[in-house]
Amino acid sequence: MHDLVFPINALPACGLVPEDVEGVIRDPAIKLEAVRRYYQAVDADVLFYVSDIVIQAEAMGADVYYAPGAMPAVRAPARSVHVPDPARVERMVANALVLRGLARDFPTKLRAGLVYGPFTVAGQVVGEETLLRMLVDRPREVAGLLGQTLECARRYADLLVDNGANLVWVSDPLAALIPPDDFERFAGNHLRRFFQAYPSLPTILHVCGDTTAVVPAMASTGVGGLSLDNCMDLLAVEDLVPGNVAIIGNLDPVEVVELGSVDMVANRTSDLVSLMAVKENFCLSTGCALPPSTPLENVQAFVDTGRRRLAELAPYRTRLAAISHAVHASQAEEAGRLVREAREAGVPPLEIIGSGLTRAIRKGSAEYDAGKCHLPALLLMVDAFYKGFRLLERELGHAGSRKVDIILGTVTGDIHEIGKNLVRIFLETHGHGVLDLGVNVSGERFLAAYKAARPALVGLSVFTTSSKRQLGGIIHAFRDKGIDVPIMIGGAAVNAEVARSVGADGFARDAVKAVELAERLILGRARRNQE
Amino acid sequence: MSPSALTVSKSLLRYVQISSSGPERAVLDELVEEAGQLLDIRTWKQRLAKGDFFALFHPWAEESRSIASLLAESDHVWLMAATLGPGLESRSRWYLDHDEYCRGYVLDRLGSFLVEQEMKKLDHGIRRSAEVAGHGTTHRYSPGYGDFSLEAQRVFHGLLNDSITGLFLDVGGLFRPEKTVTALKGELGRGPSWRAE
Repeated sequence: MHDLVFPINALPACGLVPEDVEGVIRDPAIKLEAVRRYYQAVDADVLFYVSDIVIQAEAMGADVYYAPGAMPAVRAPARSVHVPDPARVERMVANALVLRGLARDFPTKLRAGLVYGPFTVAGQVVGEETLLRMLVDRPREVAGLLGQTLECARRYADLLVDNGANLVWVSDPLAALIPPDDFERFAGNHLRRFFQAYPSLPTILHVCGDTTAVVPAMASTGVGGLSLDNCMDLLAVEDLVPGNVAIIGNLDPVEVVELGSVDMVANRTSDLVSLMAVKENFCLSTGCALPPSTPLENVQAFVDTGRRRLAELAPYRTRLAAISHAVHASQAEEAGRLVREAREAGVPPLEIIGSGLTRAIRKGSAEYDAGKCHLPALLLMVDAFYKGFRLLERELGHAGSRKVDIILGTVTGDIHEIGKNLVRIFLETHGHGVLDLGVNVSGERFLAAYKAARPALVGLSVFTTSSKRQLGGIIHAFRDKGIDVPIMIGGAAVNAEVARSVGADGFARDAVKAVELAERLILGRARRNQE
Repeated sequence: MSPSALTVSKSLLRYVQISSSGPERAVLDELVEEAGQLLDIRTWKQRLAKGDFFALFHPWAEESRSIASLLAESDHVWLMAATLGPGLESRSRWYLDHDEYCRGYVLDRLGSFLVEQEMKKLDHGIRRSAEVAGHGTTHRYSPGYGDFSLEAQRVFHGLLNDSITGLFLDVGGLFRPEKTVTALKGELGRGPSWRAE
């Protein structure tokens, strides 16, 4: 499984038919029409049938309510739990019929038989808090309950496979709440038994939230692919996923795909593919299900951009992976040699920068963030980055220079520059265009530079307590002129409290955090401008 | 300083954030060797009566509650300074200007570590000699900390001028070369019971 492109679930399909959500959920003909329209517009590689999360819990006895215009939800735990025959559960049969229709209308596509994991359904039928307490108080009872929810999932999946599902998908969101040491006992081993029932079909497991600590356990369930939440950095966990298991993810479904502009969706998708396409086991998807209100044109932009970028990068995958590896291993000479060879072989310079050089620094930064390496080790990677980057920079000339999106400087009365320079270096290696105003920069110079370059962000560095007093004046100078550009601060003399007190939009404690903060502030500003 | 005088201690590894096994450890070894050739270490100390200190550092000493509290029981004040000279930081900047960011950064951190070591040596020397005389000492305090204005560096600069050449104050009141530190500590007429170290 690799190079697939698809958003998770098909909830935006609900908006493509005149009936309300409950009509779509209950009536297979309406649902089929909705997903047919959706997938005629969205050329996804994996199709879903509009699944709702309570379907198994409801069939096992949980009390479910259907609010107008919303997906159904559990109202109360089950009074008694039983394992249903899916062929006698109206809503399960409805989904089977939808899959049968999808198989007829889209015979060459993968069609997901989406079921919910044993642990999640167990939480729904007894209550989530109750289940989590039972892990400690009554683990044997939990084992019995999980046996029942596993059997329900398997019967339901069998029904879906018998009616046209040719991929089995398990979403087990609640499993993220299991303590990592207990994951195998309460989730992993049940999921393994589940996946063993479908040896000839592709299988995918999705667990919501940050599952870094249990990724190896998830991969060891025998599943064919891991769908990872958008709160996770794929570069930080990619080495935990074996090569024979697809790593699937993870564009933000809400902040980007639902709420962003078409351009933002396309740009973010392209960035994600640039970073991940060198992995042969990568599939592009969203980090969780798209909300029902996601604009169709945004979903199309996601799928179309993703497929185009994967195709563009596929011929260069081996060379780009080698460059990324050399930079990440701090092998500067090797990185330079590989960049030269890649250019001779016709790999476009911007692809080398994005998918080779920048990828490695982002991966190193993710490791630094996770406490796996210190700054000097990361800076050795930066040295290797520049060994390759300078070769391309010369070649690209003026055409390759980046548009300035950030201006930086150390404020009046302060001439410390190393910290500020590190921020510039990390912003550059993450693909940003930075105008470095140097040290001892007055408010007037910051303002003049802003007016000339119109960046998306201003960064102020402060090392001494005396120059800290300048911050408020500089920030007010921007605000007094009605300039609402995000301003971040950093340096030894300041902290988050100072940032709040002087009206800055954020504080970064080091150069790597500064990149993270800068990107968050820039994204937030783009969203505000869009609104 | 001769190369042999510099050793890679555990505290140095911690300070520069280098693991003992990564590729950056080899970089540190080379930089320690190089630093030995670049250092021009100078130190300075001077003992003043407390009244003279306040007169000399007027008005910044009186305006600082931290200094008042630090020196409340002191009879004398020791002034101290240490510098590594310009060689190490020039080399650090050269590395940064030539895309060798790891070397530039680590050499800068190494400089900070070394100048702090020199200041510690001065500090300990003063403390020991005071103890021999049956006196105690306070902890160290530097201009720019808390409410002790960085402007006080100007007084240090004037005092140091005759002893250590090549020191300048920049626009923000910091010494150049950057790896220069100044501090003061109080000496108590009585025993070392109040010592904070």
